Amino acid sequence: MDQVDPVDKLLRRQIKLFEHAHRTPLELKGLGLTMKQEGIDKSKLYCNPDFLLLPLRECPHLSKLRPEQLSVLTAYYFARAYSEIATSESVALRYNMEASAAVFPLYSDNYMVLFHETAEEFDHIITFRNVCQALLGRGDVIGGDFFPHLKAVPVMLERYRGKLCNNGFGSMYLLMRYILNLALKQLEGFMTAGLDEKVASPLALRIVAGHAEDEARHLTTSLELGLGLFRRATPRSREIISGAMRITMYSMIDKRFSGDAAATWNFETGLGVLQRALQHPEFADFPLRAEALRDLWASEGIAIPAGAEFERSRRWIAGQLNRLAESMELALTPQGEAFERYLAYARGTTPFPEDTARKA
Amino acid sequence: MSSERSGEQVELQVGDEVLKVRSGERLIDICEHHLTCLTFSCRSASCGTCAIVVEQGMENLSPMDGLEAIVVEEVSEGRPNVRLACQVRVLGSACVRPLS
Repeated sequence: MDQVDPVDKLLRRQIKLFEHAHRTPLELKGLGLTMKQEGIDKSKLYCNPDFLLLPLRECPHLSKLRPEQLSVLTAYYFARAYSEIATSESVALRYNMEASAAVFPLYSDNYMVLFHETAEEFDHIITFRNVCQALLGRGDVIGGDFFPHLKAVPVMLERYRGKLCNNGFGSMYLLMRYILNLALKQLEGFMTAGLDEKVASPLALRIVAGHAEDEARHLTTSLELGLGLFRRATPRSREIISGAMRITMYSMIDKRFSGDAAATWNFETGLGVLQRALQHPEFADFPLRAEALRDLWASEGIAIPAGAEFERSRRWIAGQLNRLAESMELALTPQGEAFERYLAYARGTTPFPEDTARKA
Repeated sequence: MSSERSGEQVELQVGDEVLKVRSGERLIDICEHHLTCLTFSCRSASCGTCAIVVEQGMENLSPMDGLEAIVVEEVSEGRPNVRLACQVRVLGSACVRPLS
C-alpha cells in the first residue's frame, strides 16, 4: 500500500522534472525575437487552416484565397491564440506565488515548483508579445480587455479569498488554472496537427513544441496539486470550490460542444481572426467584409465544417473535464444538446468515420 | 533489440482490443484514433496519466528517454515493464494494458 501523500508524491516528481528541464533549458524568447525580425513569411502556414472552423472550401470567396492570404489568416490565428495564452499566463504571474506561499514554507522545494513555473510564464509572455508584434504589428493585444472571459478568474478568486482556508485558496486557484490550461491546450495541442511540415512555418512549430513541453508540467501541477489541496481543504471550502468549478465547467461545455460548429466559441474566434485579417493589405482586393460573409453563409446554407482536428480537440478536452468532475466527485447535470455531446465525447461513444475504418 | 520496420503493419493488443497498426506510430496517437481504453493528458511525459504495462513485446517499442524514466519511476511504484504511451513508438507487435 502506498503511504506517500499524493501531494508530496506529485511535488517530488515535479521537482525532478524541473531539474531535468533546467539542465537543458529551452528559453523561448529567442524564437519570439527571430519571428519579430522575420515578420509573416507568406510562403508558410502558421497553423492548420481547417482548425479555424471557417468554410474555406465551401464558401465561393474563401475557396479562392491565394496562398499568401491563407498564410496571413493562419498567422493571425496563431498570434491570437498566443495573445490569449499570454493573457491566461498573466493571471498565473499574479497568483502562483500567492497560492504557493499560502500552503508551503517560503523557498521550500515545494514552494519552488510554482516559482519555477512563474519564471517560465515570464519567458512565455515575452515570447508571445514578440509573436504578436511580428504577426499583428502590435504587442499590446495581451490582457483582460481583449479576453474578458479571463478577467472572470481573478474576480472569482478575489470574491472567495476570505471565505476559503489556505489549502482551499490554493486549490481553487490551481483548479481554475487547470481549466485555463485545458482551453489553451485545446488550441496549442491541435492547431498545428495535421499540417504538412513542408508548408508549415518552422519557427511556429518550434514555438508550439517548446511551449507545449513547459505547459505539460504546468498542466500536471494544476490538476494534481489542485486536487491534492482540495482534499486537504475544509468542508466549507470544498463546497465553495465545487460550486465555482461546476459553473465554470458548465460554461465551458456550453460554449464548446454544440453540434452546430457555428454556435461554438471556436467559430467566433475564427470569425474574429478573419475579420482582422481582412484588414491586412494582402486582402485589399477581397470583395466582402466578415459580417457580409457570415450573412452569405447563412443565406446560402453553407455549413461551418468541424474538421477532424477540431473534433479530436473536443474529444480530448471532454475527457479531461470528465476526469476533473470524477476526481472532485462533481455531479454535472445540465440538460441540452451541448451537454449531451460533451458526455458522448467523454465516454468515447462518438467515433469518427476514419477511426472506424482503421479498426482491425 | 528493436525490430523496426517503419510503415509495416503490425499487431498491437491494448487491453482486450487487437489492432492492426503501422509500425513507427506513437502509441498514444494509435489509441486516440482507435478510441481505445487509454486515457492521456499532457502528451509530453509529464503527467503519467497514460502509463501502461507492457505484457509482451518490450523489445518492439522505442527506447525510454530521461524524461520518461523520471515519471515512470514515480508512477510505477516498483512495478516492472511500465512505459508512457505518449513516448512509445510501436516498432513491432506488442501487448500492453493501462497501468491503472
